[in-house]
Amino acid sequence: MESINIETVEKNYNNVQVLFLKSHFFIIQLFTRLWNSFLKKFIHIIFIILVLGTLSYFSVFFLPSIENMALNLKSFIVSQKTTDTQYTDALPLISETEKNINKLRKQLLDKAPKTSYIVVNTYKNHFYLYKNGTLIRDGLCSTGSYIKLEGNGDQKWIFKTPRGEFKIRCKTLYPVWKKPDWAFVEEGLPIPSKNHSSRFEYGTLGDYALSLGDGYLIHGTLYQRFLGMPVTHGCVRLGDEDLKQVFMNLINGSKVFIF
Amino acid sequence: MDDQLIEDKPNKKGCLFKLILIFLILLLIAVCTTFSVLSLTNKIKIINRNYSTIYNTDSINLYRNPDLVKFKLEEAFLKSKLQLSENDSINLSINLKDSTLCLEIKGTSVYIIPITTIKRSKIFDNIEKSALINYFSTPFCVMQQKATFLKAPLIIKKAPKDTSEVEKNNVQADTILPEIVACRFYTDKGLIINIRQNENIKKLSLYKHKFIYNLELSTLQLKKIIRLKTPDYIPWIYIEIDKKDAVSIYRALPDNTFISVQI
Repeated sequence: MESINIETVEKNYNNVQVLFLKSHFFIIQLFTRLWNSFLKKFIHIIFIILVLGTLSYFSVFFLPSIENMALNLKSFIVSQKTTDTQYTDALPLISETEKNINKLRKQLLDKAPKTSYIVVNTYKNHFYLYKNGTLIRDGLCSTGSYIKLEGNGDQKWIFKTPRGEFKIRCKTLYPVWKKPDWAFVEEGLPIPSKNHSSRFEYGTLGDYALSLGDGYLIHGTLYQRFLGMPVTHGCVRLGDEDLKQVFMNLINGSKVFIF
Repeated sequence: MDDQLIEDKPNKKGCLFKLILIFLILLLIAVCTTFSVLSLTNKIKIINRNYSTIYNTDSINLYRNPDLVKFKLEEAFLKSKLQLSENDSINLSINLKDSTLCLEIKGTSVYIIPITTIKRSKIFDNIEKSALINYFSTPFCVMQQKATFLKAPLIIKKAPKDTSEVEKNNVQADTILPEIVACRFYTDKGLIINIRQNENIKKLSLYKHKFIYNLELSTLQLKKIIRLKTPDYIPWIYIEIDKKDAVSIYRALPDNTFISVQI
């Protein structure tokens, strides 16, 4: 057996210890460096965010309000009060303007319909019936669904209720629906000839129909549960009782406002 | 020691860079502020020059009477409405005095909506009164409209090949609205009309919405400022109404509609 030299062992042990300490120190140093660089980068990022935030807040929110602040200040500094002479001098002009206002109001009132009329809100799917300028009935209705039906080739239809001012062209009792081409295309059925019996449907439009022209009608519906929803192909659908009231109150030529 | 000295140099550079950056930001803010105030005075001058009909001091004094101005503004509004009544399309009239917004078709008020909040550019208090009256005496033509929702929510549906496909192709109308309902009308006389829902909105969403909406105008202003030109001040009116009414109005108005305003 080889003899153990204590001195050599001690020396080796010291070397190992130094090495261990060195490696330990190296790891700590590495971590510290990494941490410091991370901290620096983090601070830089925060700084950049702060700069960008300040700039964007300034340009988007503060800049528009500067103008108002400046105007407020100007109004505060240059405030003008009316003197008595200014008031009396203006009196003839005031009375003349008042007369003009009354005249203009009358002119505007004359523009309003003299007979009963109906207003339809296509977004809310609500109708308002007026008589002598007073609301006499309002309720739910259904208007165009805004669906674009694309058939074969160039065939396409947009199911929307037209907006603007219309007139009642004719009133029909127990109307019969003559189904247009889209009604067949939508059902996946072949389009029949113009006067084919399959085009005529009884009872679908309710008891009354009021024509607005171009095929658009105010009529009843079998699907009362859909009232208040945009489900039609462009016509205005009303509930049975509402339709009766509208039919009774509107005459041929009555105005229909749709928006 | 040497190591420390070497490490100190970039720190000093970094500090200097930060200081320069802060200085530049402050300079930018100062320049922007100056230009914004300048744009405002410019706009007041332009409106006064283009719309004022008063050339002597006696008339200027007359228009200092608040009652006269009030009546004249009402007269201007009615004149503008009467002019609109000749028009076939759907128009809007905004009465800030009565806090009402009204859809009109050929002079008939078809839908009146109460306004819950009104804010307006302070510029109107600083314009010469006769110019202000003339500015509002004719309708504003809408040049551009923008909204957080679609004007026509069109849904495309392919026609079924046969009856068996009908159920499969069934689609429903789009009735879903965004969290914030807002629209903006850009008019020919430079006025911008903003309409927003009055229902409560989450703070973060509102901040985001305001940021996007303001960004567009701020970018325009900043672009001019960078070129060292005075930006154009844009007078505005801000209105809050019911969410569904806001949609009704925006969807009802055609592209080049007209708006009459009473302030």
